[in-house]
Amino acid sequence: MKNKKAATALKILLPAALIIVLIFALFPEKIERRDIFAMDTYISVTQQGGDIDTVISAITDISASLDMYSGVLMESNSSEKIGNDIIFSATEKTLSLNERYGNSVDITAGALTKLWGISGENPTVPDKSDIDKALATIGGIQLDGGAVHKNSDTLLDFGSVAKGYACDRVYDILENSDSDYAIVSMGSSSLLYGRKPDGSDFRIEIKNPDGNDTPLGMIETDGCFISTSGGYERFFMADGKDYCHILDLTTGYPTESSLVSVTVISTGTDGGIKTDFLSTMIFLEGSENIEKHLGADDYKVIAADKNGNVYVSEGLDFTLYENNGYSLCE
Amino acid sequence: MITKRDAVIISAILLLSIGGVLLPRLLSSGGSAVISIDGKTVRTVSLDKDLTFDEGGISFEVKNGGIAVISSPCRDKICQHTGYISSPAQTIVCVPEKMTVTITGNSDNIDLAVG
Repeated sequence: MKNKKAATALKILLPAALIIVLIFALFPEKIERRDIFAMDTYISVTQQGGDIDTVISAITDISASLDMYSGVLMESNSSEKIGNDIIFSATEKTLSLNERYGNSVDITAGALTKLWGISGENPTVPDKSDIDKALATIGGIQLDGGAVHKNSDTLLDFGSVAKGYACDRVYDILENSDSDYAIVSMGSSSLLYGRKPDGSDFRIEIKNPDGNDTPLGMIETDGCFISTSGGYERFFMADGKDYCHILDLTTGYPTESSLVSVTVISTGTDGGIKTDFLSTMIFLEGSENIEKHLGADDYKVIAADKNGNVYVSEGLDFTLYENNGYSLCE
Repeated sequence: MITKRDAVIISAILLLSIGGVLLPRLLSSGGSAVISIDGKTVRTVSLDKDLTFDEGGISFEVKNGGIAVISSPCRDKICQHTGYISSPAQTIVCVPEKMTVTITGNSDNIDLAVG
């Protein structure tokens, strides 16, 4: 009697369970994807759960506020007081990174960026006297009453932190939504959010700095922020010399760093702007100073130098690909 | 007791479930490149055969299962410096020309390409 009851229950429950599995297999929770041109790059958002439109409009707003060559910042960059909320918040967060890690990345170096114009049409090497003038405008900003106060010839340039900052704001939105998985790619900075639907680690490939078909290698990781700086995509050539887009504020010229690619990974609130800022900073510091960054406890680093050496932080699951011109530095 | 008929039904549902998971993956094999300008797809090319062609004033080359921009009228040449791509995680982007090249198929389990 008891057995028969159990068998009847099984007869109903088992097919019911299988039908549910079938429904989930055929109609998984919708993963949406949206691609836009913003922040002077191509942005791709892949998201499961939450509202993708909220994410896209947040990115669009940030792009409209932080781009030096358009929108709010272009219009107000020569004023002594800028009251825009996004500009204020991005400035505040960058200044706290400056306090912690130093000033080699500085959002007040806009006059120098503009002078070199490496992202613009026909960049040329400027006169030394103009470089010195631009260098003299760096620094001296204050935050007061929700506004950024500065000299009128000091220009703000968020190029080295804007994408990381945008990844942070997307992270905040996702944290307050029912989304449990998202990939937000902004070129040099990205956010890998939550867990993949199949539960496996995120797999991220780092491009080969030499343009070789075989990537540098692959990282397997939980959700994180990741930013990469390199001189191999955005640069110009003058008199047979390559000038990369990352400017050394101690000289006023593009850096001649011994590193060719620096990737930084971090997690948690405001981890995006941190990875964006640090990847540029570590790139500027060169391989001579890499050791202290490999041992840092609040971020992880993968860096490659001009001689084909690859430096990897301990505790990072990184696989170097074979035959790509690079070898791990012990 | 579970009868023979029950067993058949259960097996059928099981097979359908497995098929439902595997079929979409099987159908999406075979890599191709999708070229879009200003969000609109202008050309899709298979990556199986080597080829050079022009689209919207930009020259492309398909070689060894990958695709690259070999010349572009844009100011910064970032699209050219990207080199060959072959994974769905990779994109060639030309911001001035609002052009993107993405890869479909070629599933390689990479979620993101950075750098």
